[in-house]
Parts: sequence; structure tokens; C-alpha cells
Amino acid sequence: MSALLEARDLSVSFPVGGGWLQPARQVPAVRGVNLALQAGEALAVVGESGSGKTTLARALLGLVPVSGGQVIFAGQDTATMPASARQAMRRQVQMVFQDPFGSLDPRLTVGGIIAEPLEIHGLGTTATRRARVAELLGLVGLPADAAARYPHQFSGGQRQRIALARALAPAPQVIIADEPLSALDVSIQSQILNLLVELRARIGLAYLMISHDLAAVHHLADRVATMYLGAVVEVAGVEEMFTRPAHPYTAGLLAAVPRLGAGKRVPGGTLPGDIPSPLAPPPGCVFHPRCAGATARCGQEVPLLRPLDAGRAVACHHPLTGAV
Amino acid sequence: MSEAAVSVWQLRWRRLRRDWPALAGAGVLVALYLACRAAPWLEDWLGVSGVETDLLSRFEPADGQHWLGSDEAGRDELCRLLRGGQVSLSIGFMAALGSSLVGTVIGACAGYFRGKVDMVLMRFTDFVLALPGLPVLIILAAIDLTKLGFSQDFVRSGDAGYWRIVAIVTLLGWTTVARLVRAATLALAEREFVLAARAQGASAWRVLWVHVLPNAISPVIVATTLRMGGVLLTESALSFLGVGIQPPATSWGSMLTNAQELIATAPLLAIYPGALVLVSVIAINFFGDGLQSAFDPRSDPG
Repeated sequence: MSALLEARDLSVSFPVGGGWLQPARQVPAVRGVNLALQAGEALAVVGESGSGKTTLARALLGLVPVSGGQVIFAGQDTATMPASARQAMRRQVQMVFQDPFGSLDPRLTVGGIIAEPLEIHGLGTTATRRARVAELLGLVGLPADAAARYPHQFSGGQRQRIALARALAPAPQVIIADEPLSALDVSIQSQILNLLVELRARIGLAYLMISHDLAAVHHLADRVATMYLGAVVEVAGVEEMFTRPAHPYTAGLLAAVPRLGAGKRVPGGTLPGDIPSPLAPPPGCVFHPRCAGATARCGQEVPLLRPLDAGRAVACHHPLTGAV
Repeated sequence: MSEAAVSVWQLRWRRLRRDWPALAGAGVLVALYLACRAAPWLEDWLGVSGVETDLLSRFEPADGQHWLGSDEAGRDELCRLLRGGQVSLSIGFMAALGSSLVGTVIGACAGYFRGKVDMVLMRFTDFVLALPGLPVLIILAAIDLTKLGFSQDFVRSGDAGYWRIVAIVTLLGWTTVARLVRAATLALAEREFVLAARAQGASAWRVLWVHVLPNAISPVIVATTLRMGGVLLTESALSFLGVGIQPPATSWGSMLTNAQELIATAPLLAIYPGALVLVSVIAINFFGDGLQSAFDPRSDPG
């Protein structure tokens, strides 16, 4: 099985501080991530704020400079691929942003926004683009006359539909969605989520969905990757992840989901404390200060992501084995 | 959803329409401009001239023919004011526009490309900003244009003085707009719609032209308007110092220069052009303030 979009040992750091004489310090936001997205697959990346999910998404798209490792698209390293292949990739990999109020240019009409990818990639003529815009508006459940209006005339949910229509315009293979639901009202979230599920069934898209909404992840994803402080700590199929989390951090995330009725407690309990500063990560396993099952080894030795069983991988010295 | 498409520009126009000082300012400017354009017809109609000297009718008081009297060379004061106004207002407009164009290009490049480009351009901006204005203006005004490769004919014509002032004011006046545009570009470059365009593979040129500049243009329009008032004053100062518009062409500034020797005998000759400069600058500032509040998304969206 060859991956469509793949991160190989991908690292991204941002410089902080620094001036004329002293060099800037590097803050690692993404640390050695290995993650592969197969064609037609829905992969979710979960984790707390500050875990590097958004940076990972932006690095995959080439929006932030990569400081180590590679991004592979359809077997080609994006760092060395020719410009034409890069443009082709940018057509095939589309992004939906978190904030539908910020991701649409207020000066363009909705039609102009949706047609922009077509213009950039020189797809179609003015007339066929217009027809395509109308088709896309129908696909995301907006009236065709929306094309002549401006983004500020739409609600958050409608804007996210517009953003989705723009992402779908050049008929991509992959949509990277960065928290596509979190800026929306709860009642609208389910509409957009159902739309994402439905589009996948109809078009056969692959999704890389960044989210901290575990219920939405459960509904949409085939596989889930958990990130903590810039590294992937667990990758598993969605059912295994939700029933038998192997990493204590994943278990903690699951336990933190509020439930109606008396839910069973997840081993490890809820997570104490906050995510540490990436400028001064703890030694050994970066999660050990917050981990209930940490041993002396966890404070010294960095656990590597290793296969556990059927399609699962975990970066933990003492993976959990019990079912939830 | 039933609301018709209302663009931001329509909203702004609605806000501006209710702002009477701004409308009054715009009205005064338009009226002044039209009056200045009408100078030749007025001359024909009254049988006077704002250009031809008539030494037999110097310092005439105001009457039915010379509505504002005549000046020290027997030229009709009103017509001369209108002809001067044509030059002054158009210099103001051209130089403000030129400054804004240069400033926009420099600011947008600095803000979008950042890093070394930003460093170099902004330090250059600081350098220009730190130049002492008036001495530099005088030095630039004293440059012999023939040595720069312009023809003798051009240099001797009235046009040379006009374009010289436009060029000087443009070269020294773009810094404010450059800083405004840079700040706006820096902020806009982080917005998700710009990231979205970049993720699509849009070129820097396209991102700047389609996404950044249209969203950064409001402060530029306001600054251009306000700058126009400043240019009028600079032009007056330059012409007053004798390095601006030269006879037989005239401007409000050069009329002030001529009037200074006669301030005791014919004070009105100084008061008229001075008052017109004052009125135009106030009108421009009212209009610019109105634009500023009309463009501010925080003002009432009604």
C-alpha cells in the first residue's frame, strides 16, 4: 500500500527571540513525526492545544518551512520536486481552515472565492468555472445565487460550507481540515460533520482531520493519531483507539470527554497539569510528569513509536493493555 | 440571506453619505476644482486675463470687471487665483497619488517578503524620513534638469516646475504610506485567507494583488487624502521660496511669494491665495476624516 501523503521524520521549529548579535532559539513545534495518509482514508490527528497539530498540517502543505525530515506526496519528496509537480500537489491537496470568518477574503464574492483555485491552476474557462461554482455550491448545500454575495452575509456554518466548496473546486484527492468544526455552533457542527462524511462517500476523498473533538473523530475517521508536544504518541484504528487506548495520554484524552450518564473511568484517569513548554521539554518521555504510570525509566529514556499489534503503534514504555 | 449583495464599498458609501462635514469638504473641493477649470471661460466672459499683464491697470480695486481687483502687473486677481488653483490642486493630487503608489509598492514588498527585504526597505524608509524636509526640498529644487538629460525646451517650459514639484514631493512623501501598508500587509499575511491562497499555490504577485492590497487599501486612501493637504502646503512653501512654479504660470504658493513685497500696499493679494490654501486644506482634511470613519468597520454598519 503506497501512501498518498506522508510525513517522514518531519520536524518544524520556529525561531524565538534573537537579535542583532545573539542567535534565535529554536522552538520545536513538530518533532520527528512519521505519518502516512492512504488514498481514500480518513485520518484524524488529535491532541491538546499546543501539541503541534496545526503546524503539522501547515508543514504538510508547505506553508511553514520544514526544519527536518521530508513530506512525500505520491512518492515524491516535496522539497526536491519540480515546480510543476509542486503545483500539481497543491491542486491535489486542499485545506479547510478552522475559522471560517478568517479563511474567506472579505473583498471577494463567494463565487470568486470558490473559483480561485481554478484560476490559480488555470482550470476551465470563465463560463465553465461559473458552472463549476454552481455545482459546488449545490454539493455543499448552498443556493446557487450565493455566488454573487459576500462572505459577511453568511453564518459561520454557511461560510464553512463555502470554504469546503473552495477546497473541493479543483477536484483534490486529499483535504486537510484543521479543526473544521471548532469555530462553529454545536448544532452546526453536526451538519458540517455529516457533510464531510457524505462528501467522502460520494467523491472518495482522503481526509486528514485535525481535531480535539473526539466525538467528531469517532464519527468520521478510520484511523487516529494522537500527538503530544509535537510528536505522535499513538496511532491506531478508530475503534481500537476508543475502546483500548494504549498510550496513557490517549486514555487521558478519552477520559476527559464529558459523558452523559455514569461513564466508566478510563485507566489512568483524567490528565493533571498542562502541556509543558516546548522550549524546556522534560527529559525522557515528555509525558512522564503528567503520567500516572510513570516509572524511573520514563524519566530517562525517550520511548520510540513502535508497533504494538494489528495496525497500532505507540510510543510508551508501559502501554496500557486493558479495555476501557 | 434575502438581503441583496451589499459590498463593503456600498456600506462605506452609506456611512460617508451621512457624514456632513466630509460631504461639505468634498463639495468645497469639487466646487474649487470646477471653478479653476472654468478660468478661461470666465476670462472670456469678463474680458480680463489672469496671464496677460496690463500695466495701465495695476492694483485696481474690485469692480464689475475685476471681481477681486487686479494685481501688481494688472492681471485679474480672480482669474489668476483660479489658474493658480488649477496648478496647486493638480500638484496636490498628483503628488499625493505618486507618494501613495511608491509607498504602497515599498510597504507591500517589505511586509510580504519580510526578512532582509523588509530590513533594507524599512531602513531606507527611516533614512528618507530622517532627512530634514525643507533643506532637501531646496537642494532638490536647485538641481539643473538639463544635466539629468532633459531637453532645454522642457526645462524652460512651465511644465518642468510642475513635474519637479510632483517628483520631489513624491520622493520625500511616500514614507507614511509605506509604513501603513507594511503594517497592514504583515497583519494580513497571517490571515487564513492569505494562507489559503498560498496553499493553493498562488504566486506572491497574485496574493498581494488579489488578497492583500484590496484589504489594505482603506488606510492608504485616507492617508492619500490627508497627504494632499500636506502637498498643497509644501507646494506653497516651495513656490514661496522661489523654487517652485515660475511665471508666467502660477500657483497659490507663487502668488503668495509675489504678494510678500506688497504686503503693506496690497495685503489682499496675500490674503486671497492664503485663504484658498487654508480652505482647501481644511476641506481635504474634513473629507479625509470622513473617509477614515467610513472605512472603519467598527463604525455603525447601518
